[in-house]
Amino acid sequence: MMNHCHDIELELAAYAGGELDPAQQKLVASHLDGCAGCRAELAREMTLRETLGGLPTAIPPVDFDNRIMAAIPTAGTDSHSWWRQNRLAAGLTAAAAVMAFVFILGNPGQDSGPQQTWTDREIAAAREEVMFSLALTARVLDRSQKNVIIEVFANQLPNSVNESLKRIKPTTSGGNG
Amino acid sequence: MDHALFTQLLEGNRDRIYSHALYCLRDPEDALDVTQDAFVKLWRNHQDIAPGKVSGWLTRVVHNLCIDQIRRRKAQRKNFGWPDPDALDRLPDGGGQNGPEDALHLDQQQRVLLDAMDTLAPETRSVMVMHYFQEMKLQEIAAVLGKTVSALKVQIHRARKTLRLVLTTPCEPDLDVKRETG
Repeated sequence: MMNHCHDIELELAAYAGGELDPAQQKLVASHLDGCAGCRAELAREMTLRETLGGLPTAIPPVDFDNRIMAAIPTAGTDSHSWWRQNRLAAGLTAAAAVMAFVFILGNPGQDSGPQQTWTDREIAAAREEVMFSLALTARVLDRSQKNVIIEVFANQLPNSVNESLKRIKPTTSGGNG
Repeated sequence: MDHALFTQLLEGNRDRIYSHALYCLRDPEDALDVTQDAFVKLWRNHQDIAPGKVSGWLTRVVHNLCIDQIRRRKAQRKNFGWPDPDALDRLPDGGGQNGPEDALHLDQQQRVLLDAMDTLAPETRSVMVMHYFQEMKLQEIAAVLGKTVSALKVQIHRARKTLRLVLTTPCEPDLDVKRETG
């Protein structure tokens, strides 16, 4: 058991903190009565306890709470809102990229060589591709944002796509095939 | 978690977590960064934390963040465990600059001891802060860190020996003063 000084010294932190059970507490106290070395070690333990225990509680600057609140998401009410927002942003970015691609596809540069026209079938195929990409992007997004997703991907973006397609359609009037 | 609850947890734990970080890192800016990181982690992970376990969870997080920060610092400064010559300048009450450290009034023994604690392994230093400054029971620390009480007893015992060695090696047996006088 705790007969050697090393064993006693191991227990001194718990002894000084009153964390030993009564039997152990008594055993350590009994050893300390007859061991100057361990009493010296206990004195060092008590000095540590007093010195570090006497350190003042540090107070952060007054605006620190604002700094923390600024570091956490301000929209949404749960911890994943930041991630969801970013995923949504990523999805919207991807969708915008698709939109831009379609727009460029349908509006080749005026000064970049002969203007290329597209058949209605090609446009329909492109439209299908766009809608498929948008649907795919929507499925990647967190489903808890369903309302936002429905609004963006079922209403706003398809309308935008249709508008874009309407704009490029006149250029294909003669190329139906 | 809504902002009201988060604000409540922030107010209830902020000073304790910041103090822990400050006495481990001894750099107010690093301590603020670590404290901020701890609370951002709380915001992001609250769903995994039982309501009554937030305090312990935060303690473990700041413990780990401090260890990481000290290791990064040591790697950067190539300081292989010996007291940092600039450590005194980073003491919370040194310099007289505007900042949170100005509010602290450490006595000589506290400063010397904190200097000596720089020689301890980062994890041990943090455990010492938990036990002696935060006055956490060994059982509590063991639960927070997932260690055994026996392992903590060994760790603290070794730390006490190391501190005694560091403090008595040059000429100044600070920790022995009270033994002789009291």
